Amino acid sequence: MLRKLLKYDFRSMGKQFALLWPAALVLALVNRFTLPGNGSGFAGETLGFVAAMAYFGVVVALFVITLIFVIQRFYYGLLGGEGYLMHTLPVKPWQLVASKLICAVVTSLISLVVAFLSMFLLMPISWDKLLTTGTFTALRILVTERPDVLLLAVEILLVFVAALSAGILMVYLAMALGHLFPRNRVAGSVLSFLGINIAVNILMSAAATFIPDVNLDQWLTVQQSAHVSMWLMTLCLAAFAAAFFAGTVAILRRKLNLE
Amino acid sequence: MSDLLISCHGLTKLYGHKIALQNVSLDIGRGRFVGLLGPNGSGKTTLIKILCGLLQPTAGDLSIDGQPVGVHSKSIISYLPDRMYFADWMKATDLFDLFSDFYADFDRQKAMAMCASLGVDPKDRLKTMSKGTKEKVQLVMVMARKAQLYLLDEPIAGVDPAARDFILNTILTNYNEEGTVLISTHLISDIERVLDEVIFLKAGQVMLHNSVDNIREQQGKSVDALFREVFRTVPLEGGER
Repeated sequence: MLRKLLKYDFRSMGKQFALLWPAALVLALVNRFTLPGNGSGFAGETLGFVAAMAYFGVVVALFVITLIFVIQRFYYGLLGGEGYLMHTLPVKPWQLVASKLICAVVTSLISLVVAFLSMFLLMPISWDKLLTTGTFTALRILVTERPDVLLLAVEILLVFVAALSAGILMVYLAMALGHLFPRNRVAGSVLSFLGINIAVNILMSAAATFIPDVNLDQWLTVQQSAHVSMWLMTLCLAAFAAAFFAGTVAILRRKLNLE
Repeated sequence: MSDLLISCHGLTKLYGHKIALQNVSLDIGRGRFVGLLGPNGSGKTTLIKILCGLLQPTAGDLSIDGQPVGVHSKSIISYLPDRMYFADWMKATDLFDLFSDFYADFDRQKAMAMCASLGVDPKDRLKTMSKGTKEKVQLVMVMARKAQLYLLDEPIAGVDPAARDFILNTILTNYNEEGTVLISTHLISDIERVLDEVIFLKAGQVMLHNSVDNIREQQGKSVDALFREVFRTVPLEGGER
């Protein structure tokens, strides 16, 4: 059933971003050739400033639209009018939340990739100078000398996905809590979000106070210590994400109130 | 399979301090056409939403087909809400895909045929449809299922008498006769002829639950006449002096 739910959530995402993502890339590409001074002797700071501003605009637009999409798909999809359809489907509440979460994480990741791609398209990078034998040789040496660098890259990605999921689920939980308010549910959601943030900060401060400061370097090499730190961060973020997920599902299962 | 399709005891729903349902106990069997009747604000929509799991009762027990509200009950209930529940990006065909995926009893061909007879193009985006056309699409989706329980919340409210006949006719010619239809309305004269039994709700409480035949036999009057008697309010005349 989760697979079927994902089918419709991804279809909804496709309708929303089918034009936006390609438009961001095309805009970046067009800007690259229309920027003042490109090939006409204008150099240095002006070009760099304009390019940076144009890129900044694209990234902000992508970020804002993705954030709105993530919030809307949950709020209208499960707590608004569409909730009448979704909550009467023969599926479990956790599947509804998981489907929204997976779609939101994938959407955010794609938006991020598009933002990076647009940066490369926008910047006047000389690919023929960059993609030389020397670059590939340097990469090969890096991977040969530090084979764990690829693992580290995967671990960084895992930390990022865990942080993204925890952040999205925190917003979901805030909306689910806001939905319990008899009136002013949007304000209730914002208050809940602030409340959860404060609670998380208190928890982190308490953890920092009571957990003894362990220096991993005395047992591990610097490289091993970096890997262990990454996994600890992933686990910590995953634990927060799991708690937010469980809270959201519990509210939808026991306290759903589509008035 | 349980003999009773709906069984609830002591069902109560509070919104803050306001009582929406109070100690409602009902047993409803299969193959019945049941009118859930009451004036506005009597708790009809609240009861229907609790039956399909959109609201959680404050107190009381409820089972549908012998099981608590959950995945099984949702798979056998076909629910027509009193509002639109579409996403803007969808076409009617997207909704038919969705229903085909989730409900084993959804008959896509029947849905397409119903659209054709109602003059609805299922490939149009729902966003571009009029309110009346959207309501038709929603009705098509609900009635193209061979459900065990149809929960129809005010399907004939707010439409002209010709449209009422049209909607009722669509319901009557398409529902699964082995299943039960629970239809909420305050327009009794329009549906009295099709009802097997009625439930009168007043201020969240069940005032009466009986078969239409019994009411006519015992009370010697129509359901509509009895409703007017039970729910009569005396208008204020003159005001304070």
